[in-house]
Amino acid sequence: MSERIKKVLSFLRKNPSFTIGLIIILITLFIAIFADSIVPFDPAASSPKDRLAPPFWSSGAKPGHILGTDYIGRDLVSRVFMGIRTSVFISFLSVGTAIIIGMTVGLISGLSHPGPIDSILMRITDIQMGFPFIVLAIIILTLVEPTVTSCIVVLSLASWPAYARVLRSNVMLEKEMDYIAAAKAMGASSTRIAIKYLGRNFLPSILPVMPMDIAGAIITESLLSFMSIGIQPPNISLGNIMADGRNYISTSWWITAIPGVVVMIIVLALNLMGDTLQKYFDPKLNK
Amino acid sequence: MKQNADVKKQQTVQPDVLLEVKDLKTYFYMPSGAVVKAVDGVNFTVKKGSVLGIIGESGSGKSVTSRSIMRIVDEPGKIVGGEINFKNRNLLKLSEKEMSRIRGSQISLIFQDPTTSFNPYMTIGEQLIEAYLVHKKASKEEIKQRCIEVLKMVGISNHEEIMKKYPCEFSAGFRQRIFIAMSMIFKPDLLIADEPTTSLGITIQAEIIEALIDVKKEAGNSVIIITHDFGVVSQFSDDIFVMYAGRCVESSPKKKLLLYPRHPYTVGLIRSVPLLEARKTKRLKSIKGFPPDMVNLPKGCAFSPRCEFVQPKCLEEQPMLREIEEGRMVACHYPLMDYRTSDDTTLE
Repeated sequence: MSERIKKVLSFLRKNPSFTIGLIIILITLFIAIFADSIVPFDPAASSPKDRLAPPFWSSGAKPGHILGTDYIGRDLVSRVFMGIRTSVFISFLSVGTAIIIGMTVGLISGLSHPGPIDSILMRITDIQMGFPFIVLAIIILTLVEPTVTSCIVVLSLASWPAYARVLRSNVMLEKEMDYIAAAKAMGASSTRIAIKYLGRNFLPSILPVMPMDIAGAIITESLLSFMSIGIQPPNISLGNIMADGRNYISTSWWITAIPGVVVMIIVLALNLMGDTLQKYFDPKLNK
Repeated sequence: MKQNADVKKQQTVQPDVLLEVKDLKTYFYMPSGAVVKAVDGVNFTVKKGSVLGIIGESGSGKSVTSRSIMRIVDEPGKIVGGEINFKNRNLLKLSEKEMSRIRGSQISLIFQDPTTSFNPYMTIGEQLIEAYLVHKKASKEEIKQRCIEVLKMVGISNHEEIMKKYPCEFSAGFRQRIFIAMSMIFKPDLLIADEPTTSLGITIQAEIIEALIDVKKEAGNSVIIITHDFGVVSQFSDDIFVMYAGRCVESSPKKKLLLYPRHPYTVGLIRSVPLLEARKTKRLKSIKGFPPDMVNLPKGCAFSPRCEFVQPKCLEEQPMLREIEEGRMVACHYPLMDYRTSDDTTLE
């Protein structure tokens, strides 16, 4: 066990960009989980006398409001924390849903190739991929009530076809490989092969994409909320806060900029992790 | 009735026979509608502790025979007939679950290309352990002990280091040795080596054959070695089985076959092997023509278009496998009864 810890530590030391990304993501997750108890102010409570207070480094900053306040005097730190919670929750769940749908479709499709089931599933995937996602998201979110659940569903629509495709091509390639025949000749059953060999061999192609997909989901969610068709006001998301500052951007830039910077940092951290994972899971590059 | 029962008794009471393949037929049903009879009525037996060499050109059905025994024939291939009796159980009648219990534990298959027969995403150690866990639950120590034993059998000693590495970090020859070790984990009674040296260099070939001989000596199991190289079979098989176009053309004890081949195809094969003493005197002779088109086999003897001794009867009637001397079977209308490969009488 201690050997494993040593291995992890040496991996972290050798890949500083991954470590930085991981630390940022851990902090983000910590904020997301404990947002309720660490917020300095009630994120919904307005105080008109403190409205449009700038961040602490500018003149005219109000004590207590480190990152300033918005147009009705709500504390920006508290709002950003709550926004992180919503955004992280939605993006993780939507990517998780996408992977489950994509893996199932890809596995069934790849194993039944060539055949009618494979053709039908792949045509559905094609249609999904061929449709401009933002248009689709706008259509769906204007037709149904934009709640957290519907946001998760819409965002997962964006990435499942990619997972299905990757998995299908992997299964098709792998099931013909000698080592699958060898595993069979060693006495492994089909289910064991599917889980232990095929399942395991997909991780390298899926894990590096996952952080980047989560990053994409965070951006898209912010975008949808910024356009006021995503998360609706009593709920706070990073996009929502940015939208709040839209009318004040020439005088109070921080309302829009701060949640934007937060999105950027989270996305950057996720991409750093994805990059390193990609290198790590390729046995040919892994030294 | 009584006679029938007697015959049956005679067949089952053969204590030294480990594997008996009877009239095995494996056909491939192509999407175009054509049927490729890759293995078409093959019979052979493997005695306990003996080595059978199956030899033939590419596409003669050697590998399909071995995969049929393991019942891992790829789509669109199907085993359509015959019996494979292993320890008096017909493998073709077993359920998939029973069959997978036999695979790897009682019959092991060594693949042709060691560069693709390992999972590139798992370390050598993980794959050895996996090969063990497929059949048996055991403690880590026990498994490790067994892995070290089998690695030692093939002459690998620095196991600690090797178990942690990925397959891509080793040469093809080394990987093939590890694969032999892996297939010996449960001391299978039958080891099938499907062209184990084809993809390797000539010096490594010798190493692998030696490793196989060592393993066989230590475990005392039976081996079927499939090859197109007479050098490989002449080194360590007891009997040789020559295949052509999915059928057996000649089967015989090794020495007799190499010295007095009876089938024109066997003669052609042996003549195409370079011999040390013959290097000055004559050019190597090749068998003219190409291996047959498996979809449209010629009427009569499949070898007739390429045979130098062809007679009118050969073009009409397919020769059946018959015993011409004790222990020697030939499928030819006109076997070459007085052909010798060497004038050197000391070889006998």
